[in-house]
Amino acid sequence: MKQEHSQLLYEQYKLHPHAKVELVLKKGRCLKGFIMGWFKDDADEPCISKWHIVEAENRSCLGIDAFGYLAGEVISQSDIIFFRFEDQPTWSC
Amino acid sequence: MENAKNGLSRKITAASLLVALGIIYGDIGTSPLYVLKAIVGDRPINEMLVYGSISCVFWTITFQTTFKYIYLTLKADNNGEGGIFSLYALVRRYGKYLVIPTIIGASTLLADGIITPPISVSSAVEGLSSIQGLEHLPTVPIVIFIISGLFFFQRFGTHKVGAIFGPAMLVWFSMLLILGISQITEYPGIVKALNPVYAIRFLSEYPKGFVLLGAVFLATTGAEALYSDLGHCGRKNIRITWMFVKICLLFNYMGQAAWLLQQGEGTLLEGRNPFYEIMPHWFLIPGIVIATSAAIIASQALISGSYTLINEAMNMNFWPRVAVRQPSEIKGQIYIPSVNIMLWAGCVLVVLYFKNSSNMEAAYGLAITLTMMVTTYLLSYFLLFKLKWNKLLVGLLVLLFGSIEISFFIANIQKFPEGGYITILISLVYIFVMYSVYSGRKISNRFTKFIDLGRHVNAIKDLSEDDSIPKFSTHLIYLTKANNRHEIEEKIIRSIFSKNPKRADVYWFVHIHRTNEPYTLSYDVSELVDDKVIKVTVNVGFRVQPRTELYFKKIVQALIENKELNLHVRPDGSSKYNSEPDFKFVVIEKFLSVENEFALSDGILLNTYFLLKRHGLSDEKAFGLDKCDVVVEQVPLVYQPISKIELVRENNTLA
Repeated sequence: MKQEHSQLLYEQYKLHPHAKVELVLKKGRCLKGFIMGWFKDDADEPCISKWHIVEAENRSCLGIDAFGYLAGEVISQSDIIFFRFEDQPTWSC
Repeated sequence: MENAKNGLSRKITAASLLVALGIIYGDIGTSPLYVLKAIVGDRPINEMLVYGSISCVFWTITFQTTFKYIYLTLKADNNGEGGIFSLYALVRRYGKYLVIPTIIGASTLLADGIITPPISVSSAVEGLSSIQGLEHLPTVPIVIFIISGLFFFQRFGTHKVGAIFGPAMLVWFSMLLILGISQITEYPGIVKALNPVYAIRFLSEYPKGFVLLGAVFLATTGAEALYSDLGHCGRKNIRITWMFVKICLLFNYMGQAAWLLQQGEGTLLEGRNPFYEIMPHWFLIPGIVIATSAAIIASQALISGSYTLINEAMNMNFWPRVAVRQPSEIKGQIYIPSVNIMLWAGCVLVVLYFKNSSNMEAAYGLAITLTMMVTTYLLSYFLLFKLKWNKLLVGLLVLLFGSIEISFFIANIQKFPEGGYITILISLVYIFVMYSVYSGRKISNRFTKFIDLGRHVNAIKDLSEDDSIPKFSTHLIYLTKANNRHEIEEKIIRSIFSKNPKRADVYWFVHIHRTNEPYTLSYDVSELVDDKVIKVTVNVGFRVQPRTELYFKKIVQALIENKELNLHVRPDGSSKYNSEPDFKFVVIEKFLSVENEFALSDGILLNTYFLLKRHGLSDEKAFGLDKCDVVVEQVPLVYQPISKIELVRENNTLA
């Protein structure tokens, strides 16, 4: 998914902020979790370059473990092929 | 509508034209001091050399200065402002990699600027050697004295002496015109030189004629500075005054050429400067005084232009933050102490190294050809995407100016071993600094995690109302890079809740948005929780020094007056024991964590960026915050944690 299309995922996230998201990545890998945060190449630009996805148990602590390291996974926007929020239709770009 | 800082450009008056003369034409206006001397050098005078070179000078000024800069480039005004960064701000959305040529163009412009004051002042002062008895007067100490004085007085601003710049330059240009006419009447045939055939013949037939383009180019080096100064006077004033300036310059060049032709075939200059040779002997001393004044005004314009350029670079995140002072009430007039020292040292070293203007001519102009090529490139984006000109027409213009500028570059590259390497080396240092700051900040931004502010507002509200936690301040303000009202940096939420949670009555998240327009100053406010969590975006133009604390207090004051902000405590946080407002700003600074393991290039860029950041202006000063109201917190930037650690446990006694 191109960086320009990150707004689509962001808008869906804003509509369903507490829903679990399922991401289908390149090479067919599937990742399920909750969006914890995101990274941009330039803070002034709307495009998101990476997403931070965590398991349910890490949601309450900003997705950071006891030693200050990021829990879960950081996924590059360009690796995402499809996404779907729980009980919602699938989106692709 | 045309805007300008001093408002003089809005209508054309004698005063506005005089101001334009004093500010805009210092650089290009003092070129007659050294151009013909540089072209002729130690070559024997002959018709092909003189006619051909004057023809080249005329057509160079016509194509490069009149057509490219006065007619085309001045169209690219960014709310009245010009210069390479203003142009970049106009077109950056149309090309991801435009930043690279912009950095190169700005760096080369700054680097060549180090030679402008020495070459102008030296050329003027060397006129003293035309006076009998002063032939062997050492000029280097005089030039250093004048240049040092000029830099010393920068801190006081130019508002007191600025008023005489216009009349002084009017005297200078009138002198050029009169001296030129006086020689042309002696040899009217020189007017033939305007025929382009002489230029073509000179370039193709005169031995090493093409290489001499490097000296011809000196007649147009000031064109780029002219564009940078657009904001001071406005387009119309520049265009009108240019007609007068061009006539004066051409008459003077032709006058010098007429004098050369009167010397007879095969004569050598032997160190004489045609500029001073066309002066009557009785006029030499006043002529030198006028020339030195013009050179000082030219140097002043260059110095002010460098401050503006660095200030823009800083506000567009190309330059480490440094202190910027405003020496007068005149909008846009700034003084940057660190740049002043840097330029002064550069100019003095140039004078000491090259010793005289002839040697400086050999180094001058090489770097600025790169700036002109970059301007052509950026201008093509402006014409194509902003003015929506026909692609074919833009292509033809790029081809025309590209060919001219590449020719000049090839001719100028011959100057590399003769001193041109100095400006190229200085340019490389500027490029390295700008690229390190730009990419270091970009990498640092890439590791900034944003989160949804909405998910944390309830927790913030609970914390605010939790009396068991001591109050940190009434108004707690964080500076945020998040431009979206619903998002915030994760590090800010961590700062509020971790360790000792920061309880406050109102949480403010202030975003300073740098606009592409030069002088914007506006704000918008959105309340996420009524009177509790408020996000403010302050839009600040790229030429404005941010004074965040002042803006913020004014915004709070306006909200209270409009009854948009209602607090149960005294609105400014003061109490009967303490009448001072209770604002606390939290600035979160990044530092490079020791956990990082870099590739060589990333390591150099990031370490340079953080080194420059450490030695530059602190964040609180850069954002205009008073130290007593600021808490600085530090967070590590972990770019690439060390992945291979062979840490072996040697015993298991704990178990």
